[in-house]
Amino acid sequence: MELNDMKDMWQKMDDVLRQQTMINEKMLNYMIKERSTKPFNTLSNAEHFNFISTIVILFASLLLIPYLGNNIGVIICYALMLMAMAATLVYSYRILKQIKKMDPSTTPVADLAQRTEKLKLELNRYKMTFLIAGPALMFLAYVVMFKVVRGVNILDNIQKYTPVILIAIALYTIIFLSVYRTYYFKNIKAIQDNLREAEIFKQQD
Amino acid sequence: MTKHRHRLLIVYKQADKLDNSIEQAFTQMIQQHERLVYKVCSIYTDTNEDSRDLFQEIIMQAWRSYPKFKGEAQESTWLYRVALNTAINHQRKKNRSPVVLYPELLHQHPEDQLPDAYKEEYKILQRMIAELPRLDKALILLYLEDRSYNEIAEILGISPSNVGTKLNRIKDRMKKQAQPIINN
Repeated sequence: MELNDMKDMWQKMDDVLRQQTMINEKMLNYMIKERSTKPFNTLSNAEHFNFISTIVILFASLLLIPYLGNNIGVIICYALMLMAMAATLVYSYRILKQIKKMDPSTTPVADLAQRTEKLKLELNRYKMTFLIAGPALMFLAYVVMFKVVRGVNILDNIQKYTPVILIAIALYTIIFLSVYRTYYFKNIKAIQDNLREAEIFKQQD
Repeated sequence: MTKHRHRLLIVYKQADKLDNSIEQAFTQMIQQHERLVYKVCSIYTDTNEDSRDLFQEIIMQAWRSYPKFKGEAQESTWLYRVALNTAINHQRKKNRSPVVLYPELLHQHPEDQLPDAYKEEYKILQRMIAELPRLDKALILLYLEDRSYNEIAEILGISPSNVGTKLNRIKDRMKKQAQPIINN
């Protein structure tokens, strides 16, 4: 089948479609009035959720200040926790700005495909970094929350709490490995393949 | 009624009229080019539900972007860009029950209306397009739609000469793909 034959075939289909009306005015009005208010851009929605939830957690963490006491170790742990949250917030804001710039009505198809895959790859790398840093962040949260909830500074008696911390980290590692497998094999690899495809497509022959 | 409220009411009524005229223009545009949206959906999806889902997604994306459309490009060029960008980034929601809005939408099977002699060939064509990578699908669709190299280049973001080279490559690939199917 030559490309010209395909074109003829396509035109035949076009003639059939011309005689059929797929969508009437009632359906269209319903779609644009009722459905346009519902979320549909999953990438943007997930990032908005990430941004807002980080702000909420950050503000909630600020309420803990009066309960921290004077111990320098606890204060350092708390400060590191806040820094991690602030970094997440800045990163999330940057991603949101990038998403806003990706307009499907003005960006050429190959460019948008390339940018979207790059963004997805960056998001996945960020998630992986967060997962790798997880045990350290857990330790910080553990120190702060013990102090706030029970009034105990576990840094003073670290030997006693080491087994509990190690068990928590071991559990976390198991969860991390299963998430990593899912992300790497099912997600990152597919994104990398799509990105390669977009790059090859854009290359001048 | 105070003067201020009266003025506000006039502004609201004017805004409402403007909204209605935008909505009307958009509806007309979609009805005029619905075949285009249908064809994009048909090459990027493989089930009816998914096709219907994508159709709605494209319409909604076009509606959101429509206020920014200033008429610099042809309506069809603009809509191709929106539809192809949405389709390429459309992720099939495997574990989600399909939203049943107007079940009649896309429940028609236009290919059944083709003359018998063409049905089989059309199926072969669909199979060959389905095997192409996502961006090549967009390129072949625009070619089959008889768009000029310049317009294809504008929609896809590559040079017109690159369009020609890529089309030749896809042509060779599809020829090889078609041979065993035709022989069978």
